[in-house]
This record gives sequence, C-alpha cells and structure tokens, in this order.
Amino acid sequence: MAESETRTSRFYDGQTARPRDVEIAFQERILVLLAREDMTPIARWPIAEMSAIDRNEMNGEMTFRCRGEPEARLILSPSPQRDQMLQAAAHLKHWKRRERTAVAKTIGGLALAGLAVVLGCYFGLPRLAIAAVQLMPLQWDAKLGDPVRERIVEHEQICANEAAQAVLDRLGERLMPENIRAVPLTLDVVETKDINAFALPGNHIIIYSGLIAKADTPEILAGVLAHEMGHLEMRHPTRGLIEQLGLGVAINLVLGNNAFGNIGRVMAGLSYTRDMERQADERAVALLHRAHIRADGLAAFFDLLKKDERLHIPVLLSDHPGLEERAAATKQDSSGEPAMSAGDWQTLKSICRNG
Amino acid sequence: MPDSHMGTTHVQKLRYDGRIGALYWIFIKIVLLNIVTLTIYRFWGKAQLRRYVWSHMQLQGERLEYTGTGLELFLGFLLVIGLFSLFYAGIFLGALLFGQESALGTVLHLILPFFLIYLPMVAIYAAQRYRLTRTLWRGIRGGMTGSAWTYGFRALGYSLLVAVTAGLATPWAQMRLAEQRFNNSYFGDAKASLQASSKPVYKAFFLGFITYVVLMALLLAALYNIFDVGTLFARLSHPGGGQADPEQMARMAWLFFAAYLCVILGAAIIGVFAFSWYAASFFKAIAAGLRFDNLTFRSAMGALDYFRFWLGNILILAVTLGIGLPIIVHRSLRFFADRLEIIGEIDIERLKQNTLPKPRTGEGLLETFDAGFW
Repeated sequence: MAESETRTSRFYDGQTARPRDVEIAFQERILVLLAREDMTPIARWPIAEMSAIDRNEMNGEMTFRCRGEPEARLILSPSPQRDQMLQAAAHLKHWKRRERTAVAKTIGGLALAGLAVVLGCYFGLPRLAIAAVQLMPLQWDAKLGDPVRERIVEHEQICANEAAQAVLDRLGERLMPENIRAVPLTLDVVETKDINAFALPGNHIIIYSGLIAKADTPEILAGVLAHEMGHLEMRHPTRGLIEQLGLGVAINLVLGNNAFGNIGRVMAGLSYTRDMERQADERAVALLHRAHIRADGLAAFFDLLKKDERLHIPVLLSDHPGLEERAAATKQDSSGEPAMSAGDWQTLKSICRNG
Repeated sequence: MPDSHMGTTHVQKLRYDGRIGALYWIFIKIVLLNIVTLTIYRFWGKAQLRRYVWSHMQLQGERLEYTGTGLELFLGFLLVIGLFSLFYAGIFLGALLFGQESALGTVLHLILPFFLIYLPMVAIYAAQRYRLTRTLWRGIRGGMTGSAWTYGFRALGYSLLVAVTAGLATPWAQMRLAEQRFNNSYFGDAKASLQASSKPVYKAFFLGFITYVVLMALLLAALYNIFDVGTLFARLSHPGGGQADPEQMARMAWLFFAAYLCVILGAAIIGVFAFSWYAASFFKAIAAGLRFDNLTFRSAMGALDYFRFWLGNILILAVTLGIGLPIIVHRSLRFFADRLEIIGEIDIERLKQNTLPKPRTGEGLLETFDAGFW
C-alpha cells in the first residue's frame, strides 16, 4: 500500500496491538470513537484531555492521545469530521506551536535557573570555602600537606647547610603569623635554577634555591616568604581545594561533562587563585610591617621576575595577576629594618654548598 | 491463520524514511539552543532527535513512536549528579579525616575508580530499559526485566576476563552481555530471546586482532620516523639549560599535535579495517540467534560492506570537521535498517500490553558517565 494512499482512521487501545477501524463523532466536548463495522462506541475521549502528537507529512494523518489512556493512539486521516474537531479544539489545531511554546518556557526558565546557580556558585563559593576552612582544624590541613612535603623532601635535592638553614628559620620565626602557630613551620630549600616558592597545607613552605641565588637583597626573600605565609595564614591551599571541588560539582551540574563546562571551570578556577594571590600580596606587606622589616622586597621580586619573563601569558589564562599590577600594588618605601645582617645573608646564599 | 502464509514466509525490513534536511534542521536548532541555554537544552534536543528518528521508522505498515521527554532525561541527570556529588564530598571528607594512608582512606580512594568503571556499564542497561519503555508501536510499549546493577557486575567481571586474556575473550564476553540484554527485553508481552555462540565469529576476531596489532605497530613506527619523535622528546625534557626558545617550543607543540592527530585518524581507519569482518560477523550471528514473537532474523551484512560504510563515516567526519554528523546519523539508520531482514510477521491479533515497570526518569547515569549526542 503506497504511503500517500488514504488509509482509514484507526484506533489502538493500548492493550492489544490490533487496530480498530473507526469513525468519529462529536458530543459537546467529547469525541466519540465508533467502530466502523457496526458503529458501536468503543471509546469516549474528552477533547480537553486530548493532545496531538504527530502529523504525517505524506498522507496528512494525525496521531492523537488522551490523558486518561496514555498508550492508546488514535490515528485520523483527513476528513470533514476531523476538520470540524480541529476547528472546535484550538489546542489540537495549533499543537505544534503550543508544544514549542511549552518547551521554550521550560528551557527559558531552566536557563535562567542555571545561570543563577552558576553565578551564585561563582560568588558564593569563596565565601563558603572561607567558612568551611574556619571550621576545619589546622591539623586537618597538615593531613593533606604532610605527605606531599614528605614526597618532595624524599625525591628532590634538598639544600641542607645547617648554618644557612638556621638563618632561614630565624627569618621564618620573625614573620610567622600568630593564628597558625599551633602547627610548626617547616622551610625546605630545593636545589634548582627556578625562581619560586610555594606553600603546602600544614605550614610547609618550599623555596627554590634559584630564588636565593638570583635575589640581590634578603628583603626580596623576606617578601616572598611573607607572601607564602599570607597564604598559610588564610588557609589558602585548603580553601583552594574546596573551591575547585565545588566548581567542578556546580559546573558539572549545569553544563554536564563537556568542553564548555571544563573550560568554564578552569577559567573560574584561575580567577579564584588570582584572587588569593592578590590577598597574599596584601598580607605579605602587613606581615613585613608587623615584623618591622623593610617592605619593599616584594615589589623588587616582581621586577626580578619581569626580567626573567620569557613567555607572556595573558592574565585571564594565568593563575597569578599580572606582574605590573602586583608590583604597583605592593610598592613600599624602604623604611624598616633589614631582613638580616649582611653576614647572615652570605651564609644563607651558601645554603646549597656542602648540603 | 493456519494456511495464510503457506509456502511463503514474509520477509520485511525496518523502513527508515527520514530526510537529511530535517535532521540538519534539528541539529542546527540543538547547537544554537545549547549555546543560549548553557547546554541545558541538550536533554530536550535528544528527545527531539529521537522523536524524529522513531517516527520515521516503520514496521509492518505502522510507525514507531518515541514517548520520552527532555524533562525525564533532565531529572534523571539531576538525580544522579546530586547523589554522586554527595558521595564524592563524603569520600573527600572521609579521606581528609582518616588520612590518605589509613585502611579506610585506601578503600575510599579505590571506590572512586571502581565506580568510574562500573557505573557506565550499569548505565547502558538502564538506558536500554528506559528507551524500550519509551518506544510505542500500535499502542504497545517495550520493557525490560532484570537488574542493571547485576548487569554492571557481570560486565565488570567480563572486562577483567578480557584484560586477563589480553583481549582474546572479547567475542565471548560481548556475546554473553548481548544475551543478557536481549533475553530480558520485551515488546508488549512478547519476550525477545537470543541464543548465539561466539565460536563462528572467533576466526574473524583473531584475524582482526592480529591485523590490528601489526598495522598499528607499522603506523607507530612510520610516524616515529617521520616526526622524529625521539629527538622531540629529548629536546622537550632538557630544554637547553632552562633557556628554551618559546618559538621552538610552540613549533614542537604543533608537531606533537599533528602526530597525535595522525595517530587518532590512523587508529580509527586501521581499527575499522581490521575489525570489519568481526563486526559484520557479530551482527550476523546475533541476527541468526535472535527470536521475537513470530519473528526470526537474518542479515547479509558483509565485511567489505561494513568497512565501506564506516570508512565513509570517518572520511565525512574528517572532511566536514564534524559538521557532517547528521549525514552520518542518516547513513547509519539506513545502513542498519537495510541489512536486517525480519522473517515473519508480528502477530498483532495476539500481542498484548506488558505490565513491566516504567521508570519515571531516565539515563541519568548515562548522561553522567557516557553522554552522547543521541
């Protein structure tokens, strides 16, 4: 049978697969389905509870269903009675448009909700993380960071000249913030040409020997140390972990596991770390002042990095704010005591000899 | 009924009469709306696509219908992601509290990778059940019995077996899993049944396996030489005493990327070439062993046939950079519908509705772990 031939209207009752040939009749707001062979009624469908599902482009047949019998299907071929019914029932005549509007409303609402969730999370997450970290005892941080520090100390070349280490520890003691003294501070110097330092939860600071070698003055080292202590004071490492996790969950929720989501998560994550870097810069200056040490070392450190900078990463893609911005924000005058005596500085500079 | 088909057994096929143009329209809508809604639309897009495809599939003179909605997929996803987030947070806290080294910490650390392997397999079974219950034909819907969790464990066990046998147990394992899925599938009150041995496909599998290994080795060796990978690696790990030239680094990165692309494309083509015979044989074996209601099945799919089909898909994707996706969907539907011969007719006088459970939401696990575009 060719598709375009008109077939008779038929009804599937959703209980068996057998079709019944039907004619339709109106009774006020009820559609009555009559068996073709003997015109006995086999179903009564309230028009208000009907919906149109599909229209066959080739032969014009339309498929209808009724709310009361979800799997029953009425397939009506074009006929004057069908046209009559469609005229009387706008929701059936304009079924496609209504369907589209309903879906559009749902999606619009969800998109707004999703946007709200994402924005709320982006701004609320740091607050949540800060609150969470206040609740977590310092010892928990140590549980996270201790194994990492142990691994570094085991596998890297550590510079361990005792006299130099003592100088370093004294500087650390001067700068150590009050609120995190419950867990002892460790300062380890790793032998490498790189200029850097980072903090691990549990009050561990790892310093790259390149920083000590290339720094002209001990105030630069003091500035970097104060910056890392700022991170520890504000529990940034742990806070960062919570923020990254939270971001992952929130973005996965809305965007699912796809490229958009991952890019968004990374960008947001980077902006979080940039924030924390700015805060650590601020705290560093405060800590230096508190210890009465000259506070112009940190800005000098950024100038040192600028000289060494080879690859210019745009700020949006970087986990640190731009070097110019940081140097400007931490500009200080040279009032204050030196970080250490000239003799101590020489001793410290030789930390990697007879290590 | 006794002698209505005496001497002639009716052979039919699933008829797909969708149009590529309509598919493209749906795809374009999906892409645009995804952008506008931060991809939340993807659930409704899938439902749209399935509705179109189902309603353009005919069997025995009547069309199929997909009764699922985007909302069901969305809620299913929310449910799973919500549970999973709680679970993940719990693991994180637990590891934090009890330390990484403790016994509990180790267990918690192993749970996550276990779930990442186990849950996608559960997802496949659950998704099949959802799609069966959302398929309507002549007012009758599909259904599935059995537990997705049990299936997941079986699949996990088979995966271990395949790993332990260096891949040689693959045909056997795939056949057993297919049996699991088919033997629990219903349409109305008629149950499907699959009984097939993996022996006839083993020859094809072995040949494919060996061909794949040999060709991949040749490909990797050739690429190694062409791209001089040895020197690339050496230069990257010791960038000349810390003063690497960023331009040179960038060029090396591009070379790596190009080599990677070659491997991906090469592996795809080699994989398809090596395993076409196996795939076609597998499809034929399933068709031969499958029964449903009054129906038996048969397929004349050939290895070359299958290879040409997939090669076409790969080339279309590569040349159109992915924009040819609707064409591939269209081709695939026509290809498979055309190569499955259905022998006999479903007895529509006798077929009744089933009373199997109809899950209210669907595919949450699938979307979380193995999301596709349809």
